[in-house]
Amino acid sequence: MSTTEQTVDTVTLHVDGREITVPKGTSLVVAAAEHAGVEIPVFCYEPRLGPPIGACRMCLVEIEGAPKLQAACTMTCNDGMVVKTAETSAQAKEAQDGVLEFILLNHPLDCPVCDKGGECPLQDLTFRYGPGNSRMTLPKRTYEKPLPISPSIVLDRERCILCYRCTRFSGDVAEDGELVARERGAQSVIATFNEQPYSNAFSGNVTELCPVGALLPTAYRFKARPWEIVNVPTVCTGCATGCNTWSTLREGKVERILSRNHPDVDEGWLCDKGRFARYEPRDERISTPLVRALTGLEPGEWDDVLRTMAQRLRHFSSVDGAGGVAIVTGGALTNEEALAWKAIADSLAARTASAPIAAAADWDRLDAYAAPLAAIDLADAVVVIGDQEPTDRAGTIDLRIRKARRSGARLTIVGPGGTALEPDAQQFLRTLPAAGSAMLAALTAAVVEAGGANVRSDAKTVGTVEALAADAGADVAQVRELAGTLVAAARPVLIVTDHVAATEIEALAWALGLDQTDGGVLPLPVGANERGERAVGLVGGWDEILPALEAGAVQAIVLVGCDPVVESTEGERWQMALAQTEVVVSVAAFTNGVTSQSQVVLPLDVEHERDGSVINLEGRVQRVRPSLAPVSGVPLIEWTSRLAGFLEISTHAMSAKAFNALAADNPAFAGLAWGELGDRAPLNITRPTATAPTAGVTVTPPAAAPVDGAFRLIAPRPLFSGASVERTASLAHQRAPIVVVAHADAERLGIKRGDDVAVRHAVGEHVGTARISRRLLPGSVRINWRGAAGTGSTAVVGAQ
Amino acid sequence: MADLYTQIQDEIAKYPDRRSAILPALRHAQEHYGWLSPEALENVADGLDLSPAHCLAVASFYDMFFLQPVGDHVVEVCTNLSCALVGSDIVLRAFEQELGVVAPGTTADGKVTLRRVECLGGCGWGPVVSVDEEYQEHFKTEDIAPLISELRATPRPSESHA
Amino acid sequence: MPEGPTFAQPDASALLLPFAGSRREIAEYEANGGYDSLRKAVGMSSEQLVDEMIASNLRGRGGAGFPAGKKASFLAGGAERYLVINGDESEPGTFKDREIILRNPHMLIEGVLIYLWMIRGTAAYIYIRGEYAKEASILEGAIAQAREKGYLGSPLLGTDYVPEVYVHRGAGAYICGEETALLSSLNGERGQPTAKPPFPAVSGAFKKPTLLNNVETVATVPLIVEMGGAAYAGVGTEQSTGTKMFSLSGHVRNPGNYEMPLSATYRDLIEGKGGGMPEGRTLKAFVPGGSSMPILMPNQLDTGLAFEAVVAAGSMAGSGAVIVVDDRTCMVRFALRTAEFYMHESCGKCTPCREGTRWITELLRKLEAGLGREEEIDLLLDICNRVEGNCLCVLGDACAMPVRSHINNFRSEFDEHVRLGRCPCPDDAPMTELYPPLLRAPLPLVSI
Repeated sequence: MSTTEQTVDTVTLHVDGREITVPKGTSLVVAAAEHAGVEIPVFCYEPRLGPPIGACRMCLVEIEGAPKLQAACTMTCNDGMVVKTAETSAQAKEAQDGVLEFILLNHPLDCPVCDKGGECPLQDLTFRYGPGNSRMTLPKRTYEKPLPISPSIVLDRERCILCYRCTRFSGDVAEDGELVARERGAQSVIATFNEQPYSNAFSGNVTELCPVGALLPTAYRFKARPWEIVNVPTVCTGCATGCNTWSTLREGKVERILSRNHPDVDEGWLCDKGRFARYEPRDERISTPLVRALTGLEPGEWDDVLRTMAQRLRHFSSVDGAGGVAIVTGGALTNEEALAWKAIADSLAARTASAPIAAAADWDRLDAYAAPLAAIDLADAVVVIGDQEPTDRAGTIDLRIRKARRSGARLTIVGPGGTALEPDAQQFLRTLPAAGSAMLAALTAAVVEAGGANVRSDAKTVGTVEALAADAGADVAQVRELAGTLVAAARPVLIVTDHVAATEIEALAWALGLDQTDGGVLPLPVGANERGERAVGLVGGWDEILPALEAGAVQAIVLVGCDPVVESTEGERWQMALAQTEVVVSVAAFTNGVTSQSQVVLPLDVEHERDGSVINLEGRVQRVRPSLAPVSGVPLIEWTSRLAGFLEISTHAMSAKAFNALAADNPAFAGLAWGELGDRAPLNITRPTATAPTAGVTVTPPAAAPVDGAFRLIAPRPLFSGASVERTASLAHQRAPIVVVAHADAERLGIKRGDDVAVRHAVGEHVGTARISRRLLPGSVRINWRGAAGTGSTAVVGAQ
Repeated sequence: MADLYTQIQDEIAKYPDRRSAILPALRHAQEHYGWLSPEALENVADGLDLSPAHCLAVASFYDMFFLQPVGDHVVEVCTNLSCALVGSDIVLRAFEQELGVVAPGTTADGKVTLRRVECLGGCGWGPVVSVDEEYQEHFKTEDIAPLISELRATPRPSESHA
Repeated sequence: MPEGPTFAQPDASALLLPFAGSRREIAEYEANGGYDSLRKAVGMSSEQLVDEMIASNLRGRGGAGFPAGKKASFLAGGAERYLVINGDESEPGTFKDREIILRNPHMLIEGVLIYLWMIRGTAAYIYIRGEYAKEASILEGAIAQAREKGYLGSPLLGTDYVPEVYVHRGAGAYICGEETALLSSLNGERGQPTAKPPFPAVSGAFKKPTLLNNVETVATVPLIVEMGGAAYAGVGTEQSTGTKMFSLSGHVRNPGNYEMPLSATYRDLIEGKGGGMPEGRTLKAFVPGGSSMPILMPNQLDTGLAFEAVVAAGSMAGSGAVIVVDDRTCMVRFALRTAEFYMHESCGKCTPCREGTRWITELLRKLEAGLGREEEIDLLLDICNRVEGNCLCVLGDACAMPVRSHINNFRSEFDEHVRLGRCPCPDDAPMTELYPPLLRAPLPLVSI
């Protein structure tokens, strides 16, 4: 990757008599704090929310030559500027006293009962600045309180100081526009529309942005005081993004998750799944080994269960030669746990699978074009291809894509429509559902057709632009327009959200020469640590195991932290295949689609219980730290090692040792040491040199149009799904069933916004609230089914 | 009346950014519905491809949008300085007595909403009373009774347009 | 039916409205030389036009009095640039732009087209306050006539430049007269001011470079083109050139709009044009430039109307709205009515204005109700000091400056309210009511 040499211009200025030299364009607030050691207090200033707004006026300073005081937050440093803060300017001090008096005028000062107390910027700044008394003798403004603005957040309008951080997050960062200020002047209040819950996937961030106790997570109210808690640095494993977090621990319970800003990964944002989802209640967890008895699953003794399990696995591994056993995972393990299971798989000559579709998870093919998350920030074109919202696979990526668009990147959304990024995208290219494969091929053809210096001359196409665009159901002119965007872009980033063979992405990436750019391809794994599991050798796809299972070639299967019955698009086939399999062992947190078919069920360790490392979607190795003991009392890595013992092999029972073993001989971990896995982990990979694709591309066109008025179903697995989400009451609104209907279909069927609509599909029936989309392809229907009901299959839609 | 969605698209065409059409869109919706009900706001949001909450945030910022039902006719009396100096308080009080409501309020029969408003920009010709967005200047208490009986006999302006 | 507006008769010094009645028909406007300035302007380059503007020394008529030519020269380059005309006239006491639109809409449109040509603007948007429904439809009608005549919507007078003009109606918010708030409103946001930089000349309407001018300023441009900048500068004073519309209201015999050369005085306006006080009343004070300006006293009647003269007298010319107050008037009520307005219109974005205007209003209400305390009068002054100069825009100042001036000029009246525990004014004093706060709709309770 090329890096441009930049000479940084500096400016020299005076802050409270101290001469400082800072890079040109530095914010005065930042410069004063970091270079002059002068704190300029702020409430509304938060650079992550976009340009400063100068609303709270807490940061007023005197600037020589300016006729009146200036809000330091809106000032950038200029050469020769002479700044006097409230430290040295009586005028600024007077104004600051005034502002703080105004801020506190109607604030209830209920710090003793406020959860923010002790970690409250308003409390802290009131302690350090301001007059220390109030001359307010009139009745204070009062409001109904607390108001739930969603099941996960409560609003106290009396405490609110109207700094507008939350509404800027909603309007300018998440761009949902759901949390707003209504009314005007002293009557302004924070509100949602018509008492509807604030349901943006990132809503919880406002509780961290709020500088007072006005927006609080419901689950944390009256739970803890800052001096009673311990914050443990860890990494979220809700998806493959790997957002850095603090888990707030009090008396053996994780009470709260906060962001632990890693600028290159999460920029201090979390999605609500990462923030609010909990594997609770703990007493419903699978906490001991369970063995199938006539009466159902009954607790067993660890060693008995593991010994029997080892014998049975060993037996089926040698019955019909290799491959009689399958170890199936789904990204739920740490690298160290996965390493142990890899050793077990090897000893049993077992088949492995860690991703739903093997061809789609063939990341190695894309390594030469790999783009880190931060590449989105610098991109001049961002293209999202697929039926699925990128957020469904990688929570906070949505915020980064929006930020790139705001900074000038041209955003193109390619898919059947009805997703959140479309309204403000520069181009929306509508396709049939499940058309990713045909679309990539069409784009490759259009890029080759466009030609030019940026297009590789040896790039191959598998058809004409017209024919492939027709396969994808896309307008050929629009395909050419997008190809033009990609060819012209210097730093394009391609995000593919569906199960598309890596070779298909590779063909386009090679044609565009993405390996030569600072852009690239950002594949989105399905499982949180799918990349880590693959890196230690648990390769393969569930799609390869299923036929073997159905054919009886696999007679013993261990499903570790995954549930293909719910999580794959072939749930029904999996269920039938498992029913006829001799040995089914599952490792799970709660009973689920596969535990009911298992002879043995073992406890899975989940977030906050594991000590280890994971690899995020970029290839970044990050450390997860435990706050709690595993619910079984025996860490998974430890009992796995005991299982290994019964198989007469040895695996590490301690993560530290396992990690060091990986570091010693696995390139994905080269140069890393357990003790040095930092809290803001760097991205430790280099792109290999790209070579011309060797594998040919076979286009999988979307299925033929359904007959008899049936709809094409779009039902990828939503972000808000899974064992933890389903059990978290405060996420009820986030997983509330939705049916997105195309405007034309809604008119035809008499469906109105808000109606209950039933969608019958291959896996079941989904009854949800209707949303009408003017972009969704007519004849298709989009649902947020709890599992992966599949996409491109057919469904029947009817009003309830 | 034209379809609200179409009206909004026509307004959007006047601006380089669809967001800018929000005030005309809200005005059309208020004409259709009489006030900006949640349904009206949702339809504005649909027409503009923005969130209903944003439409609410904008609508609630301005004095001319009604977030609650109003009468068939809206009578607004300016009580800002220039009008107040020449007797608008007396006019407003007389309106209240004639209509039997306290401003802001709507008569029991739903015919007239009376509001006190800030400066309407008729300061030299006060007191200024705005009746269904039409100014009546040099307004005197004796003008009230004939005005009210006329209003009671007239349907809502948007209906009479249609 | 109550009468409509009665327009004042023009005199020899009137330039903008040198005729009685109105000229809404384009034929009538053209018959009187209308759109000739546009033809002349099209023969001139942008630089020449800006030079004429600078030579005229025309100062913005919206309130701040910034030199219009200089402002035009600040506009950043770019393929897309916009002209926005501020017709959100909402400063209490001001109704001059309304009369220009009512009587001479084509002069405004001609000014818009000259301005557009000067900056080769993509389009112009005339932001007119929402309450001016009739005026908006007059403007729409005039624009349609001009379009029919080929002045806009098609290549302009043999050039390849196509001007486009739209009317954008506000919806009732005083703050939208502030330029950045107006742009927020035009951009589809709540009409709240934004921090500068970025200045509108760099990022304004639709986040593109934007030139923003008041209706009267733009309507004056055809005159400047016609007369030449230097000739225009010969009218008025050296620093305040030309004529300007003054809105005269309150306790005066002949209220209305008067176009005055800026070399005239408040006495010329109030006593000359306005005919002085009604029978039996005496002048107590007068507001020189809209309710946000510090009040002037009878001994300041000879103050000039020029921007610099009003500043020298301790106030500002503002929008040119002159409110005359007679001796019966209670200045506590006057201050309260003033403060109430600014509290109602505060956008709520910045702390000192949002909280300060409310606090000031509540204290004044308490005082007028006879419940005030001596120290609260000083507290009021202190709050005014803490608001003024510390806000994001000047709305806070617009509340603090007049209230402070009312207290300082009429302190004994304020003290009297405290001492007596009631308002000492006679029963026939204007502003009979002590209204509760002017609230918008009550908030529904939220339950989820």
